[in-house]
Amino acid sequence: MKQVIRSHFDLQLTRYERASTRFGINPWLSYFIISIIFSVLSVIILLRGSLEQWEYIVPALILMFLISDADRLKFYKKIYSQKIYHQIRLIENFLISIPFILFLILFKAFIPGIALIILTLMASLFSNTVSSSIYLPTPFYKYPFEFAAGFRLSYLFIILLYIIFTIAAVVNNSYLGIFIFVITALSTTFYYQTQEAVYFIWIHKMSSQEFLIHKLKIALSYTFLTTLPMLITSIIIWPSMILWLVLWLIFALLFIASTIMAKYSMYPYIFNLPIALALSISFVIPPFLLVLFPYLFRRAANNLKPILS
Amino acid sequence: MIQIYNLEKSFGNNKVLDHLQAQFPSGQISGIVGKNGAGKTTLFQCIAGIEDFEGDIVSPHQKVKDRLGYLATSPYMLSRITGREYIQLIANARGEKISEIDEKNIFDLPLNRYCNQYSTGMKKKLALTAIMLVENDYYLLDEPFSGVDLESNIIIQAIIQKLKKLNKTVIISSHIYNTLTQVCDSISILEEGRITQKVAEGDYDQLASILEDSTVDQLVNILF
Repeated sequence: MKQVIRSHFDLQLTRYERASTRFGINPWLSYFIISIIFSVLSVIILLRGSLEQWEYIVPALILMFLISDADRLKFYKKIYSQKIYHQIRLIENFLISIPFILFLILFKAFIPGIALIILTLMASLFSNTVSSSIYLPTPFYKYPFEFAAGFRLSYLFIILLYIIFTIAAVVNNSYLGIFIFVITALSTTFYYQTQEAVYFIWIHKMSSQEFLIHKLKIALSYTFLTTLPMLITSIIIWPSMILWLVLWLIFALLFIASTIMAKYSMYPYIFNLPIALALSISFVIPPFLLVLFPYLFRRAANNLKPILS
Repeated sequence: MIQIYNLEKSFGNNKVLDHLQAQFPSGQISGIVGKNGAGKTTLFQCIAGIEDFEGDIVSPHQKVKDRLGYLATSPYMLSRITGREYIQLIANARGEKISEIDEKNIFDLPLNRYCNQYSTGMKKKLALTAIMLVENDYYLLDEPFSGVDLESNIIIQAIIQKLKKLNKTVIISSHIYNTLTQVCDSISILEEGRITQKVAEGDYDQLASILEDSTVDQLVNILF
């Protein structure tokens, strides 16, 4: 069994190193760069305060959510025994969360650290495979596909966020409430991770700029709709936090818009390290998005022009 | 009408289309036959503008793609999207509103089921329904009959005949030779990236003899 798990992770490492080499970065150099950037960002975020300590666990949760893709898990279930499958999932999730947990412990943020350990364990048991076969109605049916498909993939996660938000409201913990509000808004970013076939771009009777604006309108209005109950509740319960709420909402919407532009600026490729790093920097310096978004918009419009003209 | 002049397309060193010349008139159904890898799908993708190319593809409309219904051999489906939402997606993309989808569901597809879980034939019928429900002048149908049951095949043939009556430009690629001869006004043979022969409706017997390969028996005998 150990051999199977070891060969699984060896294979994942080989895949990562191949991808890194393909993008012209030596794998060892990429480890070094990622470690330095992660450490610097961790220190900057954790030095800020208690709300940011909660915010800090968001990227870990997002990464764990990303690797919980139903098709991927189905494939694992097909090729591995149940025992090996659960062990692999546990190791994968802890490989993601351990660096975050270590930094949280280092900064004595024990409660977010324990929360992250619990969420890591929960994420290891969580499987989206059921949701891939049951038809689930969504409020987003008018403008498929990202929100309709994304909601069906993550509805359990959204329900969980709403439960935590309700608890935060009941115990009057505004930091936790705003944190959950931000996560809910940012979680829609992952609805745009599916790299659709070129047909679904080509079919649009629009110029590349019109296409991008069309995508942005849907993303921003549906994200707003997804978080609206939390926003209204927060304004009523924590009126003194309105400015923070508005600022976080603007940040989340700008981040989502930039991520969508990043996706189409790279299309049909998925990964681009400099753009991923630029998006990460915006978590530390949010106004950076005001520069990044127009740049990515222009780049995406040029990239899609051959398909849509 | 779609006119193609000197169309060239290569993937690396592999030249798939080589100075291809062709004309596909409106109000006619044009068939294309060729072996696997002859370049039929690439030709369709060039006409659609999905692939870049060298040469000229001319039509009365400046932007063919906005008036083109393209049925791929294996239609692309998205996960966790129902058949109904797939149709809605195509209509939204074209800026058109579709009402009474259920009444227009002539293939009786389970529209509330996720379309990526449809069978091959159902996916094809869904994709065909979607492109028929939006306004098009040109139709590229890549293997419209393969993987589809007999009854649906008859309906698809009737749809194609209706498109002809509506003066649309229809280009079909198929390996199902008998069906192709039933619906097409002319059939072009695509070989090594070029249209080597175009046969009109009355001369399909001639086409059968061209396509008939005397070496088939010899090849089969190698196996047994």
